[in-house]
Amino acid sequence: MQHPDEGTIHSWLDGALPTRESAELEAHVQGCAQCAAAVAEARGFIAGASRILTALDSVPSGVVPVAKRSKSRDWPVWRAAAAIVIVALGSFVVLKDRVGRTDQRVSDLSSGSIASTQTTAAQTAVPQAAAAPTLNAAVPSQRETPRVGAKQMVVPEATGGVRAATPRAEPAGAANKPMVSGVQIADANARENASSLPVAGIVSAGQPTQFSRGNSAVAMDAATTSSLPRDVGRRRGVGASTTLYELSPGDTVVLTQATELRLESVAATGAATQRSVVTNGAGVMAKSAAPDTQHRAVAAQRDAQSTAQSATPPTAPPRGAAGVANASNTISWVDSATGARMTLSGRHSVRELEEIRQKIERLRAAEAAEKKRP
Amino acid sequence: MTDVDRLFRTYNAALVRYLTRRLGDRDWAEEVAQETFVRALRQTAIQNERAWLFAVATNLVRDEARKDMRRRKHLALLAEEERESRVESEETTVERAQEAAMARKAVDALAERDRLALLMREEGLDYTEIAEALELSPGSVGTTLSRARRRLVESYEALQKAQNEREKNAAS
Repeated sequence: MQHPDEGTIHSWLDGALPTRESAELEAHVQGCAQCAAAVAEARGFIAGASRILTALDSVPSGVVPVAKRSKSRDWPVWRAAAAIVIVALGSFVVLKDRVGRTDQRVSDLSSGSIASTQTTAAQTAVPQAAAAPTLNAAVPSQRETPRVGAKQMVVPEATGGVRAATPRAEPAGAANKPMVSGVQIADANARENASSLPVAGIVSAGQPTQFSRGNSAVAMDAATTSSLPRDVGRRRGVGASTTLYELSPGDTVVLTQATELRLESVAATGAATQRSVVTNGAGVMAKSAAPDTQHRAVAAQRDAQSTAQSATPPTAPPRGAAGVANASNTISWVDSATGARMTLSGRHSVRELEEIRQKIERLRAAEAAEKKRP
Repeated sequence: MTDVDRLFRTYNAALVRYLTRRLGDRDWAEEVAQETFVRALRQTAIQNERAWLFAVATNLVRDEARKDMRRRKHLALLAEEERESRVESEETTVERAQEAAMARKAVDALAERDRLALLMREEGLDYTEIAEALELSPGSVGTTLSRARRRLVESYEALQKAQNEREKNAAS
């Protein structure tokens, strides 16, 4: 047999040769080194060509991948957008919750905030009388005389921020002394601050002789609100840890944190806070023993007032000035972060304690943030 | 199962692969394959199914109008691939892309008949089928295939060598 050509060798390797030819070629290749080399080369070409053609398969599928790829490039954008929406919704819920709670506190707060809101109200002349009824009726935890309560609730709303009512926004004007409860309103009115207010509620609250209060008490309140509480001692016990805060030399409050976690409290944080404040506030009110005459006077004024007063729930009796500076009071709430029951007690009015609580909470939050930092 | 169903199930994968390798575009390949099976529907009797399908598919690819339209997209794809291979940081991906590009170049360098014969053979068509599909004499298929394989491997190796030299120059 002649040496087979390359095409025949490929045909043989591809199994395309007839049986007889195939056998002849096989026999020849076994005895012919040159053809054996040619067969080996052909095998290499077949395998090589096959491998090269397989490499074509790694080419991404056609025109469409361009669109597909651009789609996949959009993914991070969508993911980022989704993340922003989720974060925004989350913070909205949290903020809403906080604002709600702050409002609650504002209604309970007194010193500083009243003074500041008074001046704000005087300057902005917001329609408080109109807004007062609804707010007054809606907030069951008000412990001030109705007028004061209405004013406190309305002003921060109308001036567009709770911040206006926070102690930090204490004005430096004539009413710059931070004051507590309706007593300070009277005090401020005596300075002819509120007399020019166009709001009926505030003007009628300006009864300087009704609740006057000693300057010393006011001064003490000023000290309370202006200085930050200082952590002066801690004690950890089973089920509770106690922290002693010094507001000014010799003026201390005790913060007790129950360390047990109660599921119910966690589930209804906001409500629990409100409830505890109201309950304790009421308890303190009872202790504060405000003179009945004051109650009656306030009630009379309230009757003569607009519908804001008539809208006040009859079940909530008009209460006197909340807290007496020299009595020891206690407030308690459920910490929203830990779910622990917190108790704060000291020789301050409930409103002052509420304010101190806010400051302590801020302090604790800062501490917690500091701890988290590596 | 209808006849076309059977045809599709039996030959679609090979046909699409053949067309993809031929065209460098899987979408286009699938489109042509589908069109091929649609034509098979109209056919009353097909002697050699595989040869017929590959022949029709090959003829469809030859349709110049379609080619022109698609070539632009193909070019866009190649450009995209090139961009991608430049940006891609993963070395293996770059290597694979380079391999694919060189393979494409080597395959494109082949004569049309050699290329088609080789691609059909890779899909398992025997010499008779290839001859039928490409209207060749059965005796010339071996020669066509041996030539195609040799040229493909040789041009690929030449491209590889040039690439290696470029890399060596870039490194030094």
